[in-house]
Amino acid sequence: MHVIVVGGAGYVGRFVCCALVRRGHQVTVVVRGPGEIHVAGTGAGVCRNDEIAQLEQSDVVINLAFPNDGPPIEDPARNQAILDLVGQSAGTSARVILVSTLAVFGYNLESPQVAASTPRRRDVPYIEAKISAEHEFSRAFGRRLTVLRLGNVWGPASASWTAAIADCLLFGEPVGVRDADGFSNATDVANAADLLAFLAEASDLGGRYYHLAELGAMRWTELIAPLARALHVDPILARERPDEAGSLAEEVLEALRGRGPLSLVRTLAERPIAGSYVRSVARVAPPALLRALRRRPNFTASQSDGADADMLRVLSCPRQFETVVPGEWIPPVSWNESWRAVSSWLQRAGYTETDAGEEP
Amino acid sequence: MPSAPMLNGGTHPRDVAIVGCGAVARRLHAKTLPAAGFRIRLVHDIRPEIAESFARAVGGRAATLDEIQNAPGPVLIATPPRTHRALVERLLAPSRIVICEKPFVATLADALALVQRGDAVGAWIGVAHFRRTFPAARFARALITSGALGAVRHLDVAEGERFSWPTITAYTTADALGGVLLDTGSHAVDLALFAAGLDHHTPTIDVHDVRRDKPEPAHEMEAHVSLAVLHGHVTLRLRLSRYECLANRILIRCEHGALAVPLSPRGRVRVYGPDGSSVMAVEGGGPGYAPFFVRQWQESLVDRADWFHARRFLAVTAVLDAITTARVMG
Repeated sequence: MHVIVVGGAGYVGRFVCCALVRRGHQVTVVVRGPGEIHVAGTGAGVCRNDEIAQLEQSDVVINLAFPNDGPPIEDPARNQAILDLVGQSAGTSARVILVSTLAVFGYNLESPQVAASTPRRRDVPYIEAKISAEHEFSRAFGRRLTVLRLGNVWGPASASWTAAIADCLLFGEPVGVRDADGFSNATDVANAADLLAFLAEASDLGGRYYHLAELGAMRWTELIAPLARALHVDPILARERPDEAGSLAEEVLEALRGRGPLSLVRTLAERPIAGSYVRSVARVAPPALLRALRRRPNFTASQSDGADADMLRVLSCPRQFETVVPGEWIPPVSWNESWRAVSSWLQRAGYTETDAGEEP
Repeated sequence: MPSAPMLNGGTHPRDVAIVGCGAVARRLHAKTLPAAGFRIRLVHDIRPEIAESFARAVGGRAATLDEIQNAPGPVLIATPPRTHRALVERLLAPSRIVICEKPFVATLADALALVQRGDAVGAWIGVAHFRRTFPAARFARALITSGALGAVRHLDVAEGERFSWPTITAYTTADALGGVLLDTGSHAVDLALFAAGLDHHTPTIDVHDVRRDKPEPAHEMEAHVSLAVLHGHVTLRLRLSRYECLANRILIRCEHGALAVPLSPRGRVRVYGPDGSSVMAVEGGGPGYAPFFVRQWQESLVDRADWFHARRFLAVTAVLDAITTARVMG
């Protein structure tokens, strides 16, 4: 088969390319910027956005791309641009696999988990963009589309989880919440890549939604404890969970306390639900007003700690993300094998001076 | 966001010229210079259309190098490293501040020549190694220079993350001076020397081993180096990667203990002693680079702080020059 991977220069993308090439498929990665350097050595070919029309017809298009830089109010436009790229790559007949996330059910998995379309809702930009992408892709590709929602992607050099947690351990920042050891809802990157290759080869799974978190039943402390031992540090835990997202009214009332108009807007923009409304308004606001607001230092230089709070929510998630995968597929990488790869990376990366060992 | 004091007694922000209107200028300088109280007035790029669009975006005017040379006020050079020597030299003028983006220049000889030329003309040359504003690095420096941990014996620097910076010129993938060593590696090495208090003097350097993934511009490398400094010898292990995350920290081993210092702005330092380690929280750290760029502009463009003067970057230039010219071992 000829498989086109949009966003294939990312962390998961490289593993996906290797898995597909190992299985004998022709792989082309659509890259932007310096992404080409991350494809080198995988056996995949590379093309830029404006070269897609020259490509040989694809059999399957896997999309790993999502809006991950720039201001959130531009996420809909960036999602549309990605959809257009995938559409060009897929033509009228190729199957499409959209890689999505468990976060479409909320960082606490507070929405009902269904292996089907999930309703749109207002939330933080990342979640809104992911839900929106699922809906737009479904409308565009119908039964040609398969959606795979991944759990928290774990593995050697995973910036979002393994490296982020190792950094928190090294510098004494919380890696969980006391008395709230959450479900890891993790998937090893090699298993995610293998499942994507499996789905690419299966021609009869269109219209389906799948969920992958084969390590999901493990609590975060089970993943973090061997990391902490390897680094010779004690994990630090936060005393309490970050406040849960309230209603719009609660967010506005809290933001109104003692703030001027501009800092009020900025404060609201950082709240999950109110921020969604602020972005909606900003998308229709006169461009000159937005430019003027952006030039004001207080507007452009937010020092929100929202990212850390979101991480703690995930680390203390009280619900397990249930895996839903085709019955014939078996994850090739066990937890022990996953740990060995992480352990080897810890030494390579400079966290440890020797390999942390075979056993987690 | 702290606001800068208004200069020259007036009510108008100070005007700055920028040479090089690429990704760094657009993504960082365009926001952080105004936040520090500066106004980008004149801009120049070898591609006129790039200069024009950047000028429109910042409310300035595209200008020739001659116009910038003759205009008052500081100049910021944000061009590919290959052009730094010539541009800095051209734009020097009495009492003028010229800030050069990192890496300063490619060779120690060029760096020395520029420092001497700047002194002769009466200009103040700075280098935009903004990470010197990171509180954890300054804390580490204070602790080490106090002598509490004894002499520095070894530096272990590991920095890596998936490279995605969208340069306009593609010099990071096409120019031999655009590899990971001179690009982000220059930040990491400089911060290590700064935090260890080793940036005052130019060391003699012995390169034992250098490994790269490919000929320059290399995207991954490891080097083992010895530095002959005033108090003896310091070994340096340097690991850099554009492919994958590394520990992103400096480990400074001293006679009586060690420090792990983040290469990011997080305000934490891990202190190692004979019986274990502990973390110290340092005030002023936090996510996001913008506040530290603002601090850099205030310290260099307003205060002319010595630790941003070009002479303080001779050490890092010497290290990078030695590694660059060393024969590749594997």
